[in-house]
Amino acid sequence: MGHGNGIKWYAHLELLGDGPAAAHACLAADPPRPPGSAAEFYDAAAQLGRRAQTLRDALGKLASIAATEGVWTGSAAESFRSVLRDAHRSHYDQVPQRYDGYAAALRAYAAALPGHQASIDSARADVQAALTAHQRVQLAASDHPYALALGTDRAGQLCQAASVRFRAAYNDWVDAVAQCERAIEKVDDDRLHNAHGAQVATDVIGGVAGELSSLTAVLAVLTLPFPVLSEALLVLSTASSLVALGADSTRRFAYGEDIDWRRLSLDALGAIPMIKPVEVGARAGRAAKEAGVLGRLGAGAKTFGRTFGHEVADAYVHGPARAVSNLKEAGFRGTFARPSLTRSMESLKGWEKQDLLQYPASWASDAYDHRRQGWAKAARSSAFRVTWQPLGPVVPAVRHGAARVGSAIAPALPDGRP
Amino acid sequence: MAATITVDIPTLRALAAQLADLAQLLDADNDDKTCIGTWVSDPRICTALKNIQHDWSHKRREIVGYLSSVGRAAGAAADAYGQTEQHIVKAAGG
Repeated sequence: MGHGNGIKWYAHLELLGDGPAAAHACLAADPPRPPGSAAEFYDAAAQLGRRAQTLRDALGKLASIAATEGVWTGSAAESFRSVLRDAHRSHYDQVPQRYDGYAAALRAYAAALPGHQASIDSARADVQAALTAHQRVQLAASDHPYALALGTDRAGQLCQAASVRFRAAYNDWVDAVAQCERAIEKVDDDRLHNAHGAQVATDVIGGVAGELSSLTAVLAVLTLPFPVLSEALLVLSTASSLVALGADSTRRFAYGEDIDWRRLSLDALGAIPMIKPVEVGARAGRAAKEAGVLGRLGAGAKTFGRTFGHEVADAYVHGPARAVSNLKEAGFRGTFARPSLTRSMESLKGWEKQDLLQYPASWASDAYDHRRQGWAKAARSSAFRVTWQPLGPVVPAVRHGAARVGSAIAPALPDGRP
Repeated sequence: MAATITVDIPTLRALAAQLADLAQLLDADNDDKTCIGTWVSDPRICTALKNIQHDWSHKRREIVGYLSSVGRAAGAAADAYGQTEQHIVKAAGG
């Protein structure tokens, strides 16, 4: 057996030497004959086929329950349907096909196995017989050098011929195992396999950009009394939504992941300036209204936090509040002290649309430069390295302090710190 | 007049059990001791099957979780409908 990646693989048999040496090589082949039996492979294939059918039945039943909309109504029905997923869109319907694929590969191998075992057994017997004959000739003709030469030469030729036949039978079987293995691997062409390489990075980018977009949108709402900072955060939120839209579209169309149209629409909406902060603000306002607390921004944020849970509150409310406080301590008092529309308009003069396009490109480039950390880590940390760069052209007041802004904000973030 | 709704409680209960069993089987198919690779004695084909099973471990975990949760929901629905019917029968009888 050969070795590769810690896995023992079957290797083609090579005949080293002629006659008896070749025969010895054949008899030393490892494994000496194909392991297992056709019956066990057929049994395994049947079990896999049954598994596929059971899965198909179960998914079919769930689909029929999902399709009873209008017949089965009420909150119980709605609750039950809410946990059901579209088997096709989530690729669950490919699981039975996968098991059928395994079964087909094993069944094909099972059909060929008895033939390979018989050929190898027969060829081995011939090799053994030729080798025995060669040894007898050597013993019997030891007193007659001329006869020895003739006899051993003929016996050696027989050994060689038997060895060649054995090698052919053995290597046919090695090829059959490789073919079975390829058939099993071919099953992995479906949409079920784990993400790897660039797909992992895209998944992380989609997730981080989505988080960043929401976070900066909330920050933009919270900092409305300070237009300069709010505008900068608005630009970041918009840019992050663009990145999220790109990543989620790639996940949906290139990798076939289960990203629904609602999510893509939200990404797209978030990429339109002001939409996301308005949506987030409306959500916070609704939460505040439901709780009977209206008026002050702080109260709204507090209610928002309580409604969406402690963890979310820490991410979106307390964290940003700490960040704003850190910014003040970092010396950006002026930014908070003099909210002014005129100044806000001035601050946007230097801003150009290409800054938004530069942002995802910078992110990808930075992630590529740091890919040795692993794509996931590189993509995550690049988001935070690159995020605060657009602040430079957008907000003159913080142009030279982008790094300080980043370090002031970063400790308040709950996840994905640089 | 609204359409008649018939809830077949034994069928719902059987579905719950089937989904829970399936979730367990899919989980066991990747377990070291019971994975599908161990069903055959050829070490190379065993390794190929183990590797291929590992290659979709994320999605399988997701599906196992899905089948388990839907199974639990079906079981809870069967219990709830069963109790409702018993209450109605009791109320009508008493």
